Amino acid sequence: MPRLRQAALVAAALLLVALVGAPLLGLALATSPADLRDGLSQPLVYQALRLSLLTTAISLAVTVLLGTPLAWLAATRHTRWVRAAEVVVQLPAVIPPAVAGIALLLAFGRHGLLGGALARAGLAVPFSTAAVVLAEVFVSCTFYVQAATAAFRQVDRAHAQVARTLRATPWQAFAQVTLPLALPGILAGAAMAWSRALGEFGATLLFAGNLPGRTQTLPLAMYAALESDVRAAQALALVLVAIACITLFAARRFARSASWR
Amino acid sequence: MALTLDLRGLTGGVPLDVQLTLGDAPVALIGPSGAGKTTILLAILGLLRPVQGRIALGEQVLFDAAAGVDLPPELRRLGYVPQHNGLFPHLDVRDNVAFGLGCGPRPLGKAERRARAVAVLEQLSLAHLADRKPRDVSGGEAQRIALARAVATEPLALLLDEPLMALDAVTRREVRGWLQKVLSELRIPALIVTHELADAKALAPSVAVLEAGRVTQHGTVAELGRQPASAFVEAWVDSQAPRG
Repeated sequence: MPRLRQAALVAAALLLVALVGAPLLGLALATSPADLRDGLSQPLVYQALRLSLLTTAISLAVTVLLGTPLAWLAATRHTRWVRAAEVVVQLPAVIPPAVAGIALLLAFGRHGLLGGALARAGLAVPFSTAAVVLAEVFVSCTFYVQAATAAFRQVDRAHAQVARTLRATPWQAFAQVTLPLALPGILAGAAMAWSRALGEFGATLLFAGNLPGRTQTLPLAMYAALESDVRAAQALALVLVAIACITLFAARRFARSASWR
Repeated sequence: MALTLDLRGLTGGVPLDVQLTLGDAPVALIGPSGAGKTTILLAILGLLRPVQGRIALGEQVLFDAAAGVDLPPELRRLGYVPQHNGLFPHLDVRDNVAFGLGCGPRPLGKAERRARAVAVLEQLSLAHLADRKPRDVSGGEAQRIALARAVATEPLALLLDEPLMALDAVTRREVRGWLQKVLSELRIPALIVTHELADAKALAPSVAVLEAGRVTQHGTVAELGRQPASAFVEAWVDSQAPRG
């Protein structure tokens, strides 16, 4: 009976939407405007917000700067090494963040793979703001690289070739033709990566700690607030959800902003 | 000015063996799919590197495997229209045509190259399309704009890959007539890949036949019809000859 099948489909879909939507709605309803105002006026909130914006801005810059060349290579060269590099960068998406935290600690800790050399140079990464940035890059770069790779792959190679015959150097062809054509996908990837970095919790807690003003980002501040002031935690959670919604909306807009399609 | 080609060796998966000289009259390049027609164009353009051979445009050597000469595409001064026109979808028609004028050794400023682009479009009766995006022009218009973009940089030779493909019969005839006129005014070497006898006849006095990377015959359509060098040529002339 097609009617019944249709109903079952809709019911299943609605159930999932409710499963995701209900907790978010609950959070919004449980927080009155007064709670929100009180919660946000805690000094810890402002400090965490500032640190989160600073570290995610840096980590996004690092991700874009280092991720774009990798995405370009992955989209245009099909060697074993490029594929291996692609897989390595995909790993953080499937590794639990806490595992990432331990791995980072073991790599950059005093007795770690790289930490020893860094310590001798007077650089102690763990439990510093730099560690926050590193953790954010670690967990978020996958999203950017994957989106940028897909965006570059989508651009017809013929366009860059024609540009070359129109006297463009390889760099001009890239900057004026390939990059603008890939840009909507790249921006969408950047938005998703930024959002993931902003929400980063597990790896940061283990690798950078929870030090107000130095390593306490928004999610960590929320975690700390749970023990003292639930309203502040709620307010922070709401702020994070709001930012996430805006980012998701922006990413979807970017993806559709290819006005020529 | 003449474009002389001597292309040999496995190039882009095709074993090329092509010796061909183009004068100021266009040459139509025909051949079965996979014979290497597009490969030859890409090799001439410098987008694919032949194993052996030499490409020269007048006195200027573009490629010479033995002498180690291999000019990059941007220095070859060749105009190219790829299959499906290859217009840049993110730029309007004016900026598509202006693109090449902003590159090269003496790039023009934005205002100047736009003015020049409009002048080129006017010359080719396309100025009314200047503000449109490629997705908003018809297939026939897109083909003409692609040619306008290629000639705007004043190339010394033209390479057109199926310039009339994917057009309906009426548009095809229209664009063919227009192209014929433009080519006769340009008077530069031109290599035109095509499948259609009618296009070859209208656009070029001679036809080169490419089969499996080799030029098996080069002559007028009448010569090809009188003495076809291969079964393909015979079938090609035959299949498209008027019946009755």
